[in-house]
Amino acid sequence: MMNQRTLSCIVCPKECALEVSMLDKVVTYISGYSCERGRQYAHDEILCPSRIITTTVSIEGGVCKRLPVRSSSPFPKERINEWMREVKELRVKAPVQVGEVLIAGILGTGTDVISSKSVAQDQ
Amino acid sequence: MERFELAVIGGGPAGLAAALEARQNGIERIILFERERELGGILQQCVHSGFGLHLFKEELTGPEYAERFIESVRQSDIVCKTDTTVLEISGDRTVKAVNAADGFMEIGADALILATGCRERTREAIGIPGDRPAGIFTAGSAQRFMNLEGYRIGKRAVILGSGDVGLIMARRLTLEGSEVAAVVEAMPAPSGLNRNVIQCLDDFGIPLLLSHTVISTIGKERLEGVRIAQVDSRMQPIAGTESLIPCDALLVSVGLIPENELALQAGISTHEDSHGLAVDERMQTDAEGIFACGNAVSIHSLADYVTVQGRLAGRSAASFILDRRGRTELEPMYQDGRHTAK
Repeated sequence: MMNQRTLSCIVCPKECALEVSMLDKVVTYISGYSCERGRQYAHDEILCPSRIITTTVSIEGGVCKRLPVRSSSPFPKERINEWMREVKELRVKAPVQVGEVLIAGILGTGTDVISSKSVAQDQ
Repeated sequence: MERFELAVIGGGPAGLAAALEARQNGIERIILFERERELGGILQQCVHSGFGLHLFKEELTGPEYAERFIESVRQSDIVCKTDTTVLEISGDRTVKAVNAADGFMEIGADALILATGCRERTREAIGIPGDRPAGIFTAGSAQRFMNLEGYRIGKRAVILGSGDVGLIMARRLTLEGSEVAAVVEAMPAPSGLNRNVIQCLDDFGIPLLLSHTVISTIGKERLEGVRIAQVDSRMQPIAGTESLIPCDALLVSVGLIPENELALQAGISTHEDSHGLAVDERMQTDAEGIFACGNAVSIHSLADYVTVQGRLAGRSAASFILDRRGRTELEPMYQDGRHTAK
């Protein structure tokens, strides 16, 4: 069945209006994007909407109380709550480097949970 | 009095970019003042992603974006005074500041850059009637409590105003297990970026009530609820549309105001309507040698744009300093009379 959907791109604040045409479950045509990231977003948003998820976890012995963390790449939207439950259990000890992998391949996906910040040990 | 070539006030995205750019343009003695313990300014509490799309062509969180600049500053010889409050600046470019380690200090500089950022408009500024119970926050202070201090804001929240900070906090609260009853916006359209409406509200099914406002708060010790009503085109509540939303937290996200107390004390001009510093095309204020950038000039929707403006201010300050130095080096030649027409 032919199907068309209109999306507002969320990759950047330009917010291009995207048109995605589908035949059954296959994306056949995308228009309205002005960069490659936008085209990719339109494609993924139809087939598997994903987001970069960010939160904070507690950190011991660092110069700050909370460590900001994120998913290394977009993570399936409908599993965000599972992601949050898993990440909440995380206990991190300083020092930690930005980009350091804290949970590899969370929930059997290819995305990691990484630190968003370098935190030195508190002297 | 210790002398520097350049003093930068504020260690957020604007100040960091300005200091680094001036350094790259040949300014050697730079001092940077920051009131928090860490550099990075408000970026440190913006743990969400979406920073750096323009500058780095990748999607970073606030702390990651800040760290790129902080790392460069650390590797440079820029003197950073964190945990330091600037008390006063003057038109002749002296800075009075205080911190626990150095005590009171007074420094002189050839040029100043003001990168003091902005503040949030408060509940008092928009005059919502009601008592002053615990549980009413500006969205940014709630963000700070959650993301930096690790406190829970409330179990059920209402957010007034659909500015970007409010939208982002709606998502944060939901992810952390609080319920967001509604985002209430007096205007007929959301004021934040559409991408934030989609990924912060729509993704989580949070209702956005347009053309509605909070007309009073209920609760004396702790917030118990807010009364909301629909508003007409002149923003006046329409009788008969009132309803009560039980909640224990109200987040107010109703705009940002440039923070320019230091500049005002020194008699530097601001725009009457926006409170932003009045600057020329090189980001110089009406005080010679005092430059400004970032949200202290006008409210930016993206940190990337703040960085770009900070760099411009840094370049301008550098050429001002080098230009002046050039002139003072020339002066002895003027004095020996070789350039004096006979």
